[in-house]
Amino acid sequence: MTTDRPGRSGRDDLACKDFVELVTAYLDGTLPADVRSQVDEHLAGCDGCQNVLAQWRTIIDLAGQLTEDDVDNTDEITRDRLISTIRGLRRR
Amino acid sequence: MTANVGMAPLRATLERRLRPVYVAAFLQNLALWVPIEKLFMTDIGFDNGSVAVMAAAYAAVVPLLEVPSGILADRWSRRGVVLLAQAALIVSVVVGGLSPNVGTYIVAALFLGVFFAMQSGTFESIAYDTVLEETGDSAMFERTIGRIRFVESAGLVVSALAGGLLAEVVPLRATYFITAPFIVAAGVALLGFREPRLHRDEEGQPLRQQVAATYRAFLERGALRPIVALLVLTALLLQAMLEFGPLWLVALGASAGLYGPQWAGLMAALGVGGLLGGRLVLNRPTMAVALGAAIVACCIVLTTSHMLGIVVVAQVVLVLVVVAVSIPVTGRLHDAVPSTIRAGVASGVGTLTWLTFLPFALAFGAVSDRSGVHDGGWILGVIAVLAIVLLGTTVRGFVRAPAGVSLEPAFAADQFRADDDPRWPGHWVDPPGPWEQLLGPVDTQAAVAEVRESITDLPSPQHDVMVARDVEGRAPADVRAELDLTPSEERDLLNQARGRVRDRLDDSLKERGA
Repeated sequence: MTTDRPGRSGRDDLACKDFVELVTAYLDGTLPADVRSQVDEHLAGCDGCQNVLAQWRTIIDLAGQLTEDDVDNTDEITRDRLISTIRGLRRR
Repeated sequence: MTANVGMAPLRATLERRLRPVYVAAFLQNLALWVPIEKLFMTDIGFDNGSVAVMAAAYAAVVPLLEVPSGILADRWSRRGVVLLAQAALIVSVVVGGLSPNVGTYIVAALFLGVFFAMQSGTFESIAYDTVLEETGDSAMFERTIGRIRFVESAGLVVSALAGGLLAEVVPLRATYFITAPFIVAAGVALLGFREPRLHRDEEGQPLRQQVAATYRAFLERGALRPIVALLVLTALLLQAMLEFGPLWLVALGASAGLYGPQWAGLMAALGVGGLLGGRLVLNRPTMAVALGAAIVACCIVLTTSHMLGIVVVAQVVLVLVVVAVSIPVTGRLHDAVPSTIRAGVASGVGTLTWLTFLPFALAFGAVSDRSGVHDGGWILGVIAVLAIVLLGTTVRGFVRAPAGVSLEPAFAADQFRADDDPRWPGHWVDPPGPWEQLLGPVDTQAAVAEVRESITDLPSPQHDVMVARDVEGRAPADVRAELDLTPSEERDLLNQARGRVRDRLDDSLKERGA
C-alpha cells in the first residue's frame, strides 16, 4: 500500500468500484479520452486497481492458450440428454 | 496448449486403463434386433395400440429405477451395477426373442427398462472417477466421455445396418439371440477393468440436495417453465420418431432390409442435428418460424404421404431439426440455473419427459390403432405446433438475455466502501494483491486449467463472448455481429466474464497458497 488510502494514492474522481467496470473498455482502448485520463490518473496511485488490471491481462493471456473445444459448454447437458434418449429408445 | 504439456504419459495410462470400458461400450451397443424390432413385434401379434402400451410400460419403469440404481452404484460398485444392467439386457433379448405373444414381449421390454435405468449415468461416473484417479483432475473427462460416446455410436450404427441385412437371411427372432453373445462379451471385457474407488458414501447427500433443488427449480422458477415445457415437447417429438417411426415402414409394407438403413438414418440425424444445433444462433423469431415450418412440414408429410422414401426422409429431417433446435433451448436452460443444480434440473427434465411420454404413447397408440399410423401423426403435428408457439414466444430471450442470467459480480459490493464513506467512498475495503505474491510466479499449467474450467462454467452470453474474444482472439466487431450485440452489451458481457474468471482464479490461487 502506498498511502493510507485503501488501495490507492493521489487524488482523482474515479472510485475503484467504477474502475472495475471499465477494465475491459480500458484495455480495448474504447474509453473516451477524458475518462481514459481519469483511469490513468487513478491507476497511477492505486495498487489494488493496478493489480486488477494486471490480473485481467493474465486472464486474457491464459484464455488465449485455450482452444474453443477446451471451453465448449453448449452441449454438455444436451449431449447427455440425447445419449440418454438414444439409449432408451434405440431399442424400441 | 500449455495445460497439456506433460499430460501425454498420463493420457496413455488413462487410455490403457479405460480400454475394457471402450470395448464393453461398443459390444453392449451392438443390438442387432433394434432395426427390425417393430417388424418382429407385428409378426407376434402387436398392433399400434399394444406397441404404445409397451412403450408406456417401459417409460414408466425407467424413471422409477434411475435414482435407486444410481444410489446403488454410488454405495456399492459402479462396475457391478453395469454388470447387473447387462444381465437384465440379456434377459430382455432372450425373452424378447423367445416371445410368442404381446404379453411376454412386454416383459422383455420391462427388463430393457431395468437395463437402461441401471446403466444410465454409470459409464459417465466410471469415466469421471477414472480420469480423476489417473490424472489428478477432471480436465480430460470430456474427451474421455466423448470417446465413449463415439464408440457407443459406432456400435449403434453398425448394428443398425448389420441387423437389417441379417434379417434378410435369418429369421427375425434370430437377431435377438445373436445379440446375446455380444452382451456377454461386453460383461467379460468389463471384468478386466480396474474400477475407480473414489466414490464415497457422502455422495448420497448431494443426491438428496439435487432432488430437492430440482423440485424447487421447477416450482419456483417461473422463467424456467416455458423452457422446460419446450424441452419436453421437443423430446416428445424426438422420442415419438424413434419409438414409432418404424411403424410407418410396417404400414407401408417395407421389406426387412430397409429397417436398418432407416434406423441408421435416424441415428445419423441425431448426430448431424447435434452438430448443427451447436452452431445455431437461435435468437430471432424468423429463424424460429423457419425451423418450425420445417418441423410442421415433416409432420404433414408423415400424416399424408404413402411414399416410403419421402416418409423416411421426413422422419430423418424431423429428427435432425428437432435435435438442432433442442441444443440452444437446452443452452437456455443451462443459463437459467446455477451450476449447483444444473445437473439436477437436467435430470428433472429427463424424468419429466419420460413421464409425459407415457400418456403420449398411449394416446398415439390408441389413435393409430383405430385409424392408422398416418392419423396418429396428427398428434405429432399438434405437439409440433405447441413447440413452435413456445419457441416463438421465448426465442427473443435467447443469447441476448444477459438480464436473465443470475451472474454474481466479480467484485462483490462488500469489497468496496460505501458511497457515503466519509473518507474513501467506493474504494477498496481490502485491495486485491498481486497474484505473484500468493504463489511466486503464477503456476501456468494449473492456472490455465482453472481458467478453462471457469470459462466452461460461464452462462451462455458471457461464455460465448469470452470464447470469441479471448480464446479465439476475434475482433470485437466480428463478435458483436455474430452474437447480435451492441458495443456496450459486448463490452459489459466480456467484462463480467473476465471478472468471474478472475474471481475463481483468485480463489484458487489463495487456496493453494494457504
